Amino acid sequence: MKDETKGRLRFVMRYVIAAVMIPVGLLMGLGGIVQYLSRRVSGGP
Amino acid sequence: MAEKGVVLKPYFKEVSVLFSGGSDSTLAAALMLSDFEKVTLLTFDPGFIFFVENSRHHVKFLKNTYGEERVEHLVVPTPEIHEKVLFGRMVRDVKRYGFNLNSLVCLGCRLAMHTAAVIHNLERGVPYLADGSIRKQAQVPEQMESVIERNRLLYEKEYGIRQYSPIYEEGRSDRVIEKMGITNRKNLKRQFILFDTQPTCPFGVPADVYSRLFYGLFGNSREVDSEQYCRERYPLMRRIVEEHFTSRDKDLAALVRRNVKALEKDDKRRAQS
Repeated sequence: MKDETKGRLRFVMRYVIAAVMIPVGLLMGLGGIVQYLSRRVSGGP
Repeated sequence: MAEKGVVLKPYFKEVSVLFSGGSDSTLAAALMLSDFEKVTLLTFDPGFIFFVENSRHHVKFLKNTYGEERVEHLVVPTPEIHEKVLFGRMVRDVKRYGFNLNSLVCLGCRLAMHTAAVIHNLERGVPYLADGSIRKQAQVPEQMESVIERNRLLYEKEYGIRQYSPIYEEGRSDRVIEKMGITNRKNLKRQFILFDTQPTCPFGVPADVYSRLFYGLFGNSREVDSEQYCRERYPLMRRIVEEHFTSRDKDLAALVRRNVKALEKDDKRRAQS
């Protein structure tokens, strides 16, 4: 495959992966907030 | 900058550099080449990252600039070490750290790489190890100053390996390597996810999002978790190193002594110069 084609593919894939994986990170973050608050309330680690 | 293949000042012998092929580790390697005769670039392949071959991109620039014989690049498969360090205590980890594991996996991965690097350095009698950690990414546990300091103490005390992070305060290594002429890519720091010159980790994006946006919100959790995580991993790392040499009938203590002696000798040279 030509370098130019690879570059274009990579450019598109970057945004496709970002569109899937960034929400995963955000969801995990929300989970982290809930975990932090619940551990504070229960006095856990 | 050092001229190709020409020794400009008394070099120390050899250093290993944890090398992804990105601008940070490329700059770290280039800086090490001004003090050391030879740099071995260590790219570790845990088996779950993509495009490991991208790490070769900057190797040819380093070789062209500093001399073929001064730069060696090794891609080292480390699935077993990663399996033990990163995933070996998964149930306990999930219970203890919960969602914070999103970020801590990167610390586990780095510790697994360090374990493999310690083994490499002891086998070769190399008492120096460097990486491209930077303060700008200190939200990620493995690049926190406290974690780096803790690791540094362990490696020098137990294995006679001195660890450097020579570009820790540098925020735009991409521009620096452009100026140095050791890359043909512009603004590498603007790239994300699928990089031109380094592998891509599937855990990278969620880990980064979690570290940058959330982990800092949970009081001092990042500091406490990282300390605890390292404390749990160090005995495991020690065991992996010991087992590696025992299974090969090699005397670990003698290899450590060799490194300690080499460090003492270099320190005397440093003091005299």
